Amino acid sequence: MSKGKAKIINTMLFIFLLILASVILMPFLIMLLGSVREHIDIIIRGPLALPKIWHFENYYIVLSRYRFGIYFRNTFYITAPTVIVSLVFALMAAYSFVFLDLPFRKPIVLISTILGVMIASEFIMIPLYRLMNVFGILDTYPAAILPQLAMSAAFSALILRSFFLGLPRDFIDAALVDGATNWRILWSILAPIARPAIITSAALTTVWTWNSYILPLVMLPDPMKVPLAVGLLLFRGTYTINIPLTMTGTVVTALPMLIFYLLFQQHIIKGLTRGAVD
Amino acid sequence: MNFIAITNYLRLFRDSKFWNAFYANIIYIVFFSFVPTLLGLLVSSIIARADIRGVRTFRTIFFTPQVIASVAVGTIFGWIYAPQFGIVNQILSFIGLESLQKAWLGSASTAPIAVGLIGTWLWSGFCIIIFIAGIQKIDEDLYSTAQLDGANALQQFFNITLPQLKYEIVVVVIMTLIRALSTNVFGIVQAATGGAFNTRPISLYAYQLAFIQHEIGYASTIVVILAVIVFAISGVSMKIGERE
Repeated sequence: MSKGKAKIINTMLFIFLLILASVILMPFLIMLLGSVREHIDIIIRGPLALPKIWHFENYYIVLSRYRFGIYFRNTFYITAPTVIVSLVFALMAAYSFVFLDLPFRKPIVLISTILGVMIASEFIMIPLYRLMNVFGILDTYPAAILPQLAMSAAFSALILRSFFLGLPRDFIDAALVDGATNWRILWSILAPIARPAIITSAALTTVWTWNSYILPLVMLPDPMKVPLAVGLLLFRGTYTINIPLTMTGTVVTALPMLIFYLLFQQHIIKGLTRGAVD
Repeated sequence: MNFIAITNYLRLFRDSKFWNAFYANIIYIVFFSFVPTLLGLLVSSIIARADIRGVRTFRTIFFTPQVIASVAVGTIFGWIYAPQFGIVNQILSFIGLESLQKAWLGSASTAPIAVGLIGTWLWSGFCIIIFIAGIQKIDEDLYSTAQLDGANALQQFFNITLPQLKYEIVVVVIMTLIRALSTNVFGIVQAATGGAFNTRPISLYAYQLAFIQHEIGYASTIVVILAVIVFAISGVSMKIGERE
């Protein structure tokens, strides 16, 4: 194959990828442009016209008049504790999986990680609902946080475990000889080294918890307590007629994670593909 | 304790709503899992060995749908497919095909496929990226030897690329199958159609039974069936991946 021919083929493939990329980005563009228009303008000039006047006040309307501000705060209330506490548990679990002489280590690791990762929220929504009812915490944030936290910890423990398994064993033995307790080895020696694995786990837990909605939908019947994903659903149920405001609400739900993704993309891609892509 | 469990399982077989949900899920498996996997194999085998600028940027873009809440995805596509002032119908009228305009999510014949295509949009980029990474790990020598032996591109694909990519294929199929049967589809459908016009998947049916109609027992039966299907599929895929 001549060099010129290879160049033409590469250019064609590049254009082909460009088309694919635009198809993937198009819905986001539609969402963003739709969010700053006026409903009447969409009816008159069609859905594909560019906004004549940019109605940024849509964001103010949606955040203050339609509770999206509250949904935003609720999402934060659910996401922040889930991410932080699940990581603490995951670190301790991963440490014990790798460095402690546990009885029945294999089944414990299997049940508490793989099973935790494989179980989807809807498989357990009914028993969880009854459990939270028994605890008397239905319709409070912990009812939505605790199960999410458990599933996130299982996933993070898997990532941290494979990171710890990659460390040289002598390293820990040296510390143990030094007389350091397990607690100190974990928090003062291992946790700082495990930073990349911790960031990957934290980034993925953030995205998942932010976007999770089956658990909040089931556990938080009070519409004032729900996070954005559920709030968007409620909003659509009540005011489906107004396309721009619906899109504005969608942007408020989706944009924080889009920005977060751009900031932590290496970590998120790595975590989502379980390391298949580096 | 009262064993009404058997009755619940018998009811399942006669419940047309359950079977409608089952068929919807089969359509979703095709469009969320099989189509993106095949598309990913096709695109990645063409692209992986070419020298293309901006691969990192493409990777970032191809992954974007993964970080968006399913409910948000369903809401955006709800507008794209809308009968009036919807994007698809508007494009059709631009290119003079008004006769093809439809309420895409508003009839039982088009709605399940329209929802399925959302899954194709969502997962194809993911599959392409994983397969490209997998192909780039394959030893270059295998291809040059095959070329010397006179193997054409198609033979190279079936004899080298496909077997070498087995691990990646299994991972992708398991992940997309689980999404097609559970969480992902639940949110997209709830936001896009609310489950009307034969788009309701099993998981949404179970949710509505349990929390709207308060038929907890029967809903649990359905969830058990769903979980068994998901675990069986994952188990089989993993076995296939392990063999050889």
